Amino acid sequence: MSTTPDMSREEIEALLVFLANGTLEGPERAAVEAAVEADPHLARELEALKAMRARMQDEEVEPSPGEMGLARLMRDIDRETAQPAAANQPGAPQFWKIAAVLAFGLFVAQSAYFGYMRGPEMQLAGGDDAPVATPAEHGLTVAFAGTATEADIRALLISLDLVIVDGPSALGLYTLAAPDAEARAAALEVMQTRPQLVESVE
Amino acid sequence: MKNADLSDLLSRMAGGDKAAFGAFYRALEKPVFRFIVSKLNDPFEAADIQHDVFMDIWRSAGRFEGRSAVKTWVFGIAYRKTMDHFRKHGRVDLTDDICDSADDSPDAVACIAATQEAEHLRFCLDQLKPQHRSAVELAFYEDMTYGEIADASDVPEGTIKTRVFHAKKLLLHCLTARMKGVAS
Repeated sequence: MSTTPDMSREEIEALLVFLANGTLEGPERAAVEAAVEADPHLARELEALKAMRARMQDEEVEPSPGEMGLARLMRDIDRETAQPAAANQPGAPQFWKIAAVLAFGLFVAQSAYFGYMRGPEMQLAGGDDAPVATPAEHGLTVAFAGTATEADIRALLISLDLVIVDGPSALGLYTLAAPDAEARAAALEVMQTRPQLVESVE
Repeated sequence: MKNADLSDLLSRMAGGDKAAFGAFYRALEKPVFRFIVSKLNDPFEAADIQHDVFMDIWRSAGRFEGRSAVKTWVFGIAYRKTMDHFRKHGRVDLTDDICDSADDSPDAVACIAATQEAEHLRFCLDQLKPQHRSAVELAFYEDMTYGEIADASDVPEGTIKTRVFHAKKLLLHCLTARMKGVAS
C-alpha cells in the first residue's frame, strides 16, 4: 500500500476535498486514496463531498451583469483614459456631458410628442390591447456621477419611484421613467440637489 | 479558455486593447460573479464589487507576472475585494458556529444524495466564516488545487488545508443535523 508516512489524519481529511474535485495528484493522491480504501468512514465522507460538489456546480446562480456590466466598465475605462486630456481643460467633460443630456432630452421630448400625436393605437410589439405608457411620457435623462455606486443609485431610484427604461447609452446616459408628471417633477427637483450622485439630469 | 489565451489577452490589455478586455471579461465574468454573489446574497452589491475587480484587472494587467495561473490571480483580486467588503460591514468575524448539537456522524451522503435539497447546503455554507467558505467554493465551483486557492487567498498552503478541514467538518455536521431534523 502506498502511503506518505508524515501525513496526519487531519491532512488526509483536508485533502479529501481535493480528491473529490479531482485536482489531487502524485503521492498525495495515492496516500489519500489508500486511506479511503482502508476506512469506510473516509469513503462515506468522500461520497458526501462529491455529492456536495455536484450540487454546488448544478446550482442556479443570480444572473450576472453580463453585457450591461461590460458597458459600465467600458464607460469608466473611457473616463479614465480621457482624464489626462481633461486635466488640461478644466470642466470640459462635465460640459460635454451636460450638452449630451440636453441633446438626448430633446430627443426624449420629441419622442413623447410624437408618441402622443400617434394616439392610442400605438402599442408594444406582441403586446395585448391594454394601453401601454411609453417610457418617454414622464421620462428623465440622467448621467450618474462616476463615483455613484449601484447601491446608491438603486436607493435613489426606489425613493423617487423611478425605473430605468433605457441605458446606459454609449454616452453613459440613462432614461428613467416616473409614474406621472407630478412624480417626474419631484424627482427632477431632488436629483438636481444630489450632485454627488447625479452629474446631470434633464 | 486556456491559461495561455487569458495571459495573451492580459498582455494586450496592458497595451490598452479594449477588445481584449471585452474577451477577457466575457471569459471570466460569470464564475467571478458567482464567487462574489454567493457570499453576499445581494446581486447589486456583488455587481459593484465585480465592477471594481475588473477595473483593477484593467489597471494592473501590465503587472501580471505569470507566477500563478491567470484565473488564480483574478480570483485573488475578487477574494480581497470581497473580504474588504466584509470588513467594512463588520462581517469578517463571523464564526463557524453551526449545529454544535450534532453528533459526529458524517453520514451526509444521505443528506444530499437522498434528498438533493440545495437549501440545506446553502444554509450550511451561509454559516461558515467568509474565508472558510471561499476555500470550499474555490475548490468546488472552480475545481482549484489547494495551491491555487492559497495563491488566490494570499495565505500559505497549510492555512488552506486547515480552513478546508474545519469547513468540511462543520458542513458535514450541519447537513447531518438538518437532515436529522427533517427526518424526526
